[in-house]
Amino acid sequence: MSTPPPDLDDIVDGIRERSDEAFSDLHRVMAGRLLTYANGMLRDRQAAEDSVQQAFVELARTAGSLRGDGTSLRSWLYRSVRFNCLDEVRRRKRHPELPTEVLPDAGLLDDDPDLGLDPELEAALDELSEQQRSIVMLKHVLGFSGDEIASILNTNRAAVYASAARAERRLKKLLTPVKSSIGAASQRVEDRP
Amino acid sequence: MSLKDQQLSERLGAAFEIEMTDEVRTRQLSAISGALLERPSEVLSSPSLLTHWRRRLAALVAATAIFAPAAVAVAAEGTLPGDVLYPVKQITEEVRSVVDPMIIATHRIDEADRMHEMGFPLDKLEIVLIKADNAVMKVGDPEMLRSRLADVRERMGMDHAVEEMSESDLQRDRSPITDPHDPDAVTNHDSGDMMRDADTTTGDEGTRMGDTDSTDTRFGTNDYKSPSTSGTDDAETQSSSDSDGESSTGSDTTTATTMMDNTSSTTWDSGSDSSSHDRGDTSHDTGSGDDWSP
Repeated sequence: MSTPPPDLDDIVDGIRERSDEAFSDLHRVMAGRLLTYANGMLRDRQAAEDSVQQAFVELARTAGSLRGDGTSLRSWLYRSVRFNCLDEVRRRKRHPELPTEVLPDAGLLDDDPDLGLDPELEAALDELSEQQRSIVMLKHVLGFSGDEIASILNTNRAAVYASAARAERRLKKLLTPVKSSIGAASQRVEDRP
Repeated sequence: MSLKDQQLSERLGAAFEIEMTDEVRTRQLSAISGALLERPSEVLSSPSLLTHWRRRLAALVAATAIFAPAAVAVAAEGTLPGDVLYPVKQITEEVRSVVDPMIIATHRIDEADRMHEMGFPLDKLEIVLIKADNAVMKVGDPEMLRSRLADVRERMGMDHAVEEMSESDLQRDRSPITDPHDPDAVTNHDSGDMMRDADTTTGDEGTRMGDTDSTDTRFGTNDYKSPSTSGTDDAETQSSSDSDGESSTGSDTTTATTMMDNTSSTTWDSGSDSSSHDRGDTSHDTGSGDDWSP
């Protein structure tokens, strides 16, 4: 599991001053993980990229009144991405005719169409609530602790633990262990440039 | 066999963990730089769930504040006297009358017409008609509204009844009083005299209904009470009109006479002490009838 970057506290003052350099550093540190989170929520790379960009742009506009330390800043960004994802999900529900597939030139994974496609996993995630999906992504993919997830989701730790336990039980029940495919997928991730 | 946490993490990571391409990174940094060049927003919109719903709530409240009064006004448009939203309609038409002075008169006539179709009692219809009459007079008595009001009255049979009654009263006035013990004759010498005088003017509808002040006094605040309640109030109002003595105009009393003839309620019959009109009315034994005693 990965851990959150430790240097956000050094960046936060520059962010508050709306420094271009600070934003560039923040983007370098945070954008990839935010993109993974958004991708887990939306399962659509391009929409995930848009969600992340929107969060950074919103922060750039309002950073002058940002309060707190680096942890607050990180939580703010995850919350912003989460709500952008929720807006996107609602938009899709309202306009189901709009395309949701990844566009051909969307990015890295297009060279490897198998990567990221796990119908059984996607079907299992569909059985979870939005909050449970968020917790699963934040815990199992991004490696956040219960407290950190509680901060990001603006809830308490007990609720996070309870929700995570329910989600994991559900997923484990729905998913069958396919060690070979996991190993293959992990290998592909490691082989990425 | 079920998955272990580690296996679940690996599977999820393999499925969804992605990296940002340089192209996307450059595009996003460009967008961020553009946003930094903009004038900063003064308030940081914290993307909390509470804020998210607060925004929606604020939008809902704003929409309600804008559209609710309009919705109430629209809903009140078709109300009739006695309805809950009728006061809203009156306020709305007061405002609209600035632009369209005839709207109040038009509404009163419409109401009378609809109430007639719905089978409202004549006393209530007459009240609305008098209000319509007043409103028509206030806007200069335009022929269009006047003729429409006359049509409505005609459909209700109001004018017909008034004319019949007036003619009957006139004949009584013209007949000599020979027997001082005749109760009818006594009646003709009390307050009813003034009413007889007034009845001579009933041929002119404008005169009959034209006195705005007098009708306002009679119908201003107690218009739509039940007959039993309004009987007392109206009798008191009549009494006060009577106490004005000679200053009472012919139109006042003619209006009262019209009501007497066309209503079966105790409201006006009792006030008129109209035993000479042979309506079989028994209500002048009530306390309100005493107000008419000299």
